[in-house]
Amino acid sequence: MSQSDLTRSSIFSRLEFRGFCSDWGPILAIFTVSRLALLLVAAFALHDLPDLPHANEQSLTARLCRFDCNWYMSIAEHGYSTTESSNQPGATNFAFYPLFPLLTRAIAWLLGSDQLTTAFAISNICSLLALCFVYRYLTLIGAQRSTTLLVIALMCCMPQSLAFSVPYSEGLFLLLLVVAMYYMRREQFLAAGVSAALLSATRANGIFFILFALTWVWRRYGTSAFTAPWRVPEAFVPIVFAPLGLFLFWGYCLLTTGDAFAHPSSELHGWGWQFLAPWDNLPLALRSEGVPRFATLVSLVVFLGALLLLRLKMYEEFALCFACILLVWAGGATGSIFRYWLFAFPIWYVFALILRPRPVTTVVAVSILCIINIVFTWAWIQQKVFAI
Amino acid sequence: MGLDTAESLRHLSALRRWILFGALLLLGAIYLSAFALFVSHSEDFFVARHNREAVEFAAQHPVKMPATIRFQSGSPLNGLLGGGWHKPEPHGVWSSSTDSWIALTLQSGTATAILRLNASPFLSRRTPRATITLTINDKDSQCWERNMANASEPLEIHLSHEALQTRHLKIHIHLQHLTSPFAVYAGPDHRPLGVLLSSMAISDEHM
Repeated sequence: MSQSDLTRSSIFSRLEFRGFCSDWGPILAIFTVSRLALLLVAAFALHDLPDLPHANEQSLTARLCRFDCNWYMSIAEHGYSTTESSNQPGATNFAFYPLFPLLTRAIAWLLGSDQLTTAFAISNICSLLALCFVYRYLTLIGAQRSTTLLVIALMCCMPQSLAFSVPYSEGLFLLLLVVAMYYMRREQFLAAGVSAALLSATRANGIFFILFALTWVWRRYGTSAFTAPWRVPEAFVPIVFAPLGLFLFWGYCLLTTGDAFAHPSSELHGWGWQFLAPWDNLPLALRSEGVPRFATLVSLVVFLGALLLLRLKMYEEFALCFACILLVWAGGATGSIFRYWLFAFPIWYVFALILRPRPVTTVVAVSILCIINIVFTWAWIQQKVFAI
Repeated sequence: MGLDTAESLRHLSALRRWILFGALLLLGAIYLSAFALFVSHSEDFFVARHNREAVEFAAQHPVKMPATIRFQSGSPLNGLLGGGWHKPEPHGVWSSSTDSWIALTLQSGTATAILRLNASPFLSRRTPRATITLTINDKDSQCWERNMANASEPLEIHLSHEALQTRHLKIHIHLQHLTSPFAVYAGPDHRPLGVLLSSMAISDEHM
């Protein structure tokens, strides 16, 4: 590379960075306003609660750390344990992947800070960075600025988007996923591979990044990449790196419990989660009452959105989203209505494309999402099970 | 190799490509070997723990032949139930997975004995048949086909001399498949139900 090329490249990088910074403003504003609004709702919901016997349960942070948060914090504070929950037989913290609690523990140790506060901070910082990378990614694939900002708004207004701001792994997962996708498309394979490896140590469905990467390799290099992979081995780095986090966790589980698959074992005995054929499970879930039925209806809407990805020729994103949809359809006990789809930004991009030319519909749609989000945040503080 | 390597990767020399390809193949082979190790050496830790607890309980509560042990809510010997069971109910205990275990320790060794399990599988119009396999100490095994006509017939197995001499019995009940009443339109219960075990009797073959 000549000196002039280098200079040009560094100027380009600087301009790109400046552009990136200028786009931070609206993203930061959307994220901050939506978080403050949810915090306000949470504060009102807390005020509405009867007096609790323990003073520490009355604090907002304690009430925001509900459901899975307690499991993540138990891993961060005491490590993994096969001890079952007293009020949920069979449930252990092996049902949760290690990266988020490990990060919490490491950063809290480094800074000497309280683990719960650190977990809140990590979740929010990761979510904000993730939204910035969503912006970069969508811009990279040719999305207009207004559409991209609408995607960010939809993601922040989504019901259960509170999960981006409480100690849950959603923010970290979205960040690692979008970083892996972004660098894959930029052909920076080592960065994509490292992200993908961390992704599969964050949540089980992180492994589906492989489908994204395989589809990308196929479209970029054709079938010859698979028949003669030694010609472009670098493109396979993210694919081969992706299961690393998962395998390390399995290895740890085998060493500590004698069960490499302690994660699905715990999910089965504690939460009743097991694999069923989607065509068997879907009718069952639709016949069920409460959360499973609503969760399935939402997953069907998400699936329709995913189908529209095909029309946009976003095959890589479709492969990833469809695998995640199948996983939910194959799960014998669906636990969450909206939360599983917070990461599925390509689908929100499709909806944003539909909404963008229709301002009135957009306002109505965003308002409805906000109202449902408020209800779910209220329910979260009140510890209603449907808010999980 | 730095993170911003798109350009340099595009210009990898042939040798470097082959080295990278070899390294990726090696990592892939490590995954395959590790997965084989995980599958062959793993046992559901929850089931293993319940089985261990059941064996310990059985050792502390040896049974004198002949004996009939009831498995109902509040029964004193429910601790003999290992992994693969729901909570005992007033009319018995349902198995919760395709494999379930019971531990039993005899007070003294004996030459011959019959083990009888009063157990009936969950059958419905959509699942009218069930195949139940009973295995004692991973050796003696017997299989039964059950349908609507013979569902409640007890499962009887002659215990081998070898099993009886050890005094410690590990009873393994295996079902080919199980389903929930809700799944087959037979009730509101979402739990997967295998066999309903109400009692277990062990007696001398000549009695």
